[in-house]
Amino acid sequence: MQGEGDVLAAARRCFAARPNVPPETILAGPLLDYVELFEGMSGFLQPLIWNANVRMLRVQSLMGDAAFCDCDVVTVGSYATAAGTRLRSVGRVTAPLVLERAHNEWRVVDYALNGRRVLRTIRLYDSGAAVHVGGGVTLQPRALELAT
Amino acid sequence: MLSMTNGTARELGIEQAAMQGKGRIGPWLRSREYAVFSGERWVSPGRTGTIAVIWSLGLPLTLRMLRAELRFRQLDPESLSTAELALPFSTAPEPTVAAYATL
Repeated sequence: MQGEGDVLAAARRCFAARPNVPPETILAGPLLDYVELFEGMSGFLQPLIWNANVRMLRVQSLMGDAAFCDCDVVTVGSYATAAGTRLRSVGRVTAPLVLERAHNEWRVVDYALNGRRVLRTIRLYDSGAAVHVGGGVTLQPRALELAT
Repeated sequence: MLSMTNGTARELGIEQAAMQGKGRIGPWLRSREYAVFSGERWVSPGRTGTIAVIWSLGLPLTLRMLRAELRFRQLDPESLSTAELALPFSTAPEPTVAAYATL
C-alpha cells in the first residue's frame, strides 16, 4: 500500500516520543489542542518516565489524506506533581488509530485509549463558556476529559 | 481544566470542588465526590491561573451536563464564597457520556 511506511513511521514516532517532543510534530486536530492546553499549564505534571510497547501496528486502510490503523500498544508513564507526588499511569492504545496528512506530514488525530475513543472523551470549551461567579471572579472552563 | 481570573483586590484560592456522587449520607441517597487539584490553586489579584480539577466519580455517567459546586477562599481579610459551574460534556445527539463510559 503506497505511503503505508510513512503512516507507520508517524504512528511509531507518536508513541515513542510522547511526552518529550513538541506535540504539534506528532498530533493534530482537537487532540493537539487538548494536549497543548495541559503542556502550557504551569505546575502540572512533569513527565519522568515514558515507555511504549508496540505489540502490533498495521495499516488497515489509507484513503487520500486519512489513514486507519489497527494497533495494540501499552504505554507506561511516570509523572511528578508540583508537590513532589509521583503518579504512574498505564494505558492501552487500540484501534482505530487515525492519522491525517497535512503538508505531506502524517499526524495522529484519534485513537482508543483503554477502550474509549479519545475524541469522544474530551471536550474543549471556547471563550463563550466563561462564567462570572460574582465578587470579581471569572471561571473559564478550558477542557473536560472523561478518563479511566 | 479551568482558568480562574481574580478580579478582586485579595488573593483568591479554589478550596473545594464537589460533584454529586453515589452513596448515602444519613438519610440522603447521595454523596459528594471531592476534587483533587493540580496547577495554580491560588491566584493573585488581577491574574488568571489555570488549574486541573480531578474527580473520581463512583457512578456511571449518564448525564450530558456535569455540575460542580465550587468553594473559594479569599485572604486578608479571609472570606468564603461559593459558585456552581455547569460543564456540558456532549452536545452531539449520540453517543452520550454513558455510551462513552461503557465502550
